[in-house]
Amino acid sequence: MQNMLIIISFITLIFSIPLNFIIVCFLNNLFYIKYLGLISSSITLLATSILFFFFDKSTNDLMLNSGNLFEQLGVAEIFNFFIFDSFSFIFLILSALIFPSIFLYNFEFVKFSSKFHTQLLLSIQFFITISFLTGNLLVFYFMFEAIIFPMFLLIGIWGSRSRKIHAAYQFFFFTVISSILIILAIILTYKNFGTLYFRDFYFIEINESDQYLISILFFFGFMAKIPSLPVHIWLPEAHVEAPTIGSVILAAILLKFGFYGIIRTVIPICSSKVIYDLSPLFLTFFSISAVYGSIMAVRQIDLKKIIAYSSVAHMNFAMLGLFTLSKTGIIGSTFLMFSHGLISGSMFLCIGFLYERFHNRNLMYYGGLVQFMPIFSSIFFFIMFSNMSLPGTCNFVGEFLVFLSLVNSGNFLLFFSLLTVLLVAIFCLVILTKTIFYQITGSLNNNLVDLSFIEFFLIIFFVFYIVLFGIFPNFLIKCIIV
Amino acid sequence: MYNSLITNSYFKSNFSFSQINDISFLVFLLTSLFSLLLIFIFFIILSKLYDIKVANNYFYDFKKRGQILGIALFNSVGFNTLIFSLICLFFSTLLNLFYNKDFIAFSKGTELVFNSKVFFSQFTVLFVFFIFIFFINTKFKSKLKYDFLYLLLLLLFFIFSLFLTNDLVGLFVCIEGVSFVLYTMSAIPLGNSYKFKKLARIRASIKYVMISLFSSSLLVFGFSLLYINTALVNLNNLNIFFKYFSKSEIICTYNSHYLSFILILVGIFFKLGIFPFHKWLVESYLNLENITIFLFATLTKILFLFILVNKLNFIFYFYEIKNFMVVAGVLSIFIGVAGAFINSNINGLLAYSSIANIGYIILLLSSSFSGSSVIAIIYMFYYSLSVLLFFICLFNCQISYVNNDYMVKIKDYKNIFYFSEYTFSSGLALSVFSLMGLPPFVSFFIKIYLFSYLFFFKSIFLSFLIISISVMSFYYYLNIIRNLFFYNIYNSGKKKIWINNSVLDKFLIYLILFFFTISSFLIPTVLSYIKIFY
Repeated sequence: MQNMLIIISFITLIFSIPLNFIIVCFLNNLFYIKYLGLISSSITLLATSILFFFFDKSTNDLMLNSGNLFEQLGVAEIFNFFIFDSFSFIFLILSALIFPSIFLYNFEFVKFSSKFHTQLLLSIQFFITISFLTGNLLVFYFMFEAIIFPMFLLIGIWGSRSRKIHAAYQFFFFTVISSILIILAIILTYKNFGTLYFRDFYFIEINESDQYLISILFFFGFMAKIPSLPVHIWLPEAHVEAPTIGSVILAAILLKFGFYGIIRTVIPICSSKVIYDLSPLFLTFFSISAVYGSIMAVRQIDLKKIIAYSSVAHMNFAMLGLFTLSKTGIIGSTFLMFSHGLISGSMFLCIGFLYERFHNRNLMYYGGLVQFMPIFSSIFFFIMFSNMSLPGTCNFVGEFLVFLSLVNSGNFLLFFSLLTVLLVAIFCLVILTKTIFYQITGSLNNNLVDLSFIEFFLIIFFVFYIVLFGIFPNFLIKCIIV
Repeated sequence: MYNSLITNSYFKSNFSFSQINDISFLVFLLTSLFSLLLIFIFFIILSKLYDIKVANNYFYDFKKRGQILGIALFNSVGFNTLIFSLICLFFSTLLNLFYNKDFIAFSKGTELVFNSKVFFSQFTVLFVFFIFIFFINTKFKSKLKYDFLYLLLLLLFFIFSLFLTNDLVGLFVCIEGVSFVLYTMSAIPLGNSYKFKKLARIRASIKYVMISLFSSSLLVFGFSLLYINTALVNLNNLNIFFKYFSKSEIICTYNSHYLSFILILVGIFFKLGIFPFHKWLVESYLNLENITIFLFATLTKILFLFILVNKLNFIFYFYEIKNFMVVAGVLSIFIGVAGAFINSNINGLLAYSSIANIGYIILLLSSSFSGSSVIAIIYMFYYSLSVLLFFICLFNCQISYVNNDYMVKIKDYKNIFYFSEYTFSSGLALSVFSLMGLPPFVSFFIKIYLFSYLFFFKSIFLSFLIISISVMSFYYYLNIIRNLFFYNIYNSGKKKIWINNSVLDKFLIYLILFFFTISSFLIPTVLSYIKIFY
């Protein structure tokens, strides 16, 4: 019980700190502002890392009813119930790890109106933490849809080219139109279940036809977030036109909402018969879009677009593991989600460093960077290799587990999805040879400076975590209980 | 009799005031409000008699003039009205704190009803009034005449009596009193000088007056038909009468009840600007002064909605009337969205968006649940907050551009973000996003309520249609945000000026933001009504 109280207090600390710092931002000068985001995000990182030790890894599902505490405070009824199990915990750790480095980047590179920028980022952090913590479906929906507002402004204001308007509109309308399906599904679930708490979905069983309808609506709604094949178009556009920080948040955290939503809704709502009926449909969508994403990544020449398509491939590959419906598959896909968050975030940061120096993202523009940026190119080399799942990095663990689960679900699917690994390796090697190892191109003659201290500091965090969770994956796998 | 009523229905919490188990407290509060109003009017007349022009400048520089505090305080008209509206705000919140349940008090001749509907509408009206007077004092001071402020006090008097009347005759008198002030205000040129289209303004104001008079004549006709048929004037009695009348199985051969209801509804639809009767609204938004539109967009809408929901609620007992309202609501949503797509004028956009928003409210009211009227009032409260924020930001922009541009089109607001204080542009963005009804705001929950209601009780097709129309409407709202934020500084060729928000404007913006955050506590009340479905 005491343990529970500590956990509740830390949870309230985690989600209230960004909110408080938004208000603090109003009162301060421009000089101060850059420190504030850093302070708040480091406090949340500290709180989550302390929470890690209190987190009881042995019990099956750790869900808290913090009702009494919040009734005394007089807070709204819907915030009574927090869910705090392995899935929410892992994504909470991910967001806590990524935000300090984002604010460090903000420290260096944001040129104008950094006050507004900091406030938008803090609000994004607040929405993310609440949506991973809440146990109510409507609140979850409310919070992850709320991220559209700051994200739209981030892409539109701090993006670099005039194409950004198109990208921001695409981002907005794809997410909103997909969310129509989710609204309909939520209304239908409330009609059938009578509650919207995730916990109750496990215990109540409803009509089979309703199960089919609801789960398919949820699936197609969350497909734009993952994103899968027919509705993936917004992602490369948004990634290319967003500022570096925006694309880091998008790739590292926002794409995970598709996975998280499906795990919270589709899997508990369906009975085992229904989900075994539906899983071939889902698997075909994911496998085709995984291969398609990796093929598209090979033929791009925009550096950010390559990484965007690689994240399409990786996300869909991870979803394959979820719908094999085995224990190893679910663990592997969760772990792959986590590692993809770290790796794609760090890749976008690396390309952000390049863009700050040369103001170009074309692959053909670069060449021979290793000769005058040795520190950068060694780090970039390592991250690219971890993207193609080198053993010893955390991506390898996830992909290996997903493959292990795919063995049982048919040979064709296994070999078809093996294509993605091959193609990912191809484009990673292409990027490395073109940018780092080729001759120095004539156009690269100014700004030939290696990483500054802050840049090195913020990227080395990611490298450290990639190695840490690659060598000791049991840190996290212990937490994931299916 | 009323003692038992009171003890049953209020003071569920253990306030120390709960020992005052009498009507006198309530009556004291109300009489004090009216007496305060009278005192202020008296002092204003006094100041008019002595005609101290200096005193009106007290609000800024009383130290320079060396005025004695008391004289200066009572002589400055604007300051007085400001303080008065503040006091009214305070008292109305106090009233609602102590009488948070439906509470009926019978005193001689009048009946006072306090509930959440009354509170929200009263609060919004007073808040709008406060900000309006604040603006007049700070921005349009040079254009001000004394007479205008008398008109404002008259408006306040009629609004207060409108909240208290329980009579068809009194209701009509108050409606006319409110609209009398609005007629004159539409004609007075008091705003900024950026709109030189004098003829268009006069034409719009005349059109407004004519149509409003015509609609109130319809209202009178409806009221008199009601009186002829039922021989009742008291609204409570009418309510009870129609409650049993609608449930009884007597087939109504004589259809003049319906005729009177439809006449009343048409009269109110004219004033709210719902689909078949919306044309005047767009023209007046386009051509009138912005400071009067500020009142049209918030104050009149909430007042007439309040009349429809709280005073004339016996209309909703009849199923046929509700079908009429569904048609009007859906069509006005259509017209609002379609018109806003075509419009490139920022005022026109706001006009059409208001038509669409009131269409949502009318659809809400057509539902048969008792909670829907409370939710409609909450939606109106929230809508008027966001419109207030919108207008405050708009005024700041337009005033600093008086001599250069007209700032009428949406295009003229290009890149405001890059050369103004960031509170202004972010406030405008917030208000636009809240008008959309996207998740971080309360209006989203109200839309969810509407959709789920239509989904289960009307038709799935209709709910899907309205969801998709509301998604389409996001496009033109995003147009404003795109123009504000998304172009680089070097792209637009216009001459740039740094817009300074004064400290007072910042204060106002933060005040409204505060209410935005406070109103997030309304979410559970909205959600509690959603549970009625099952």
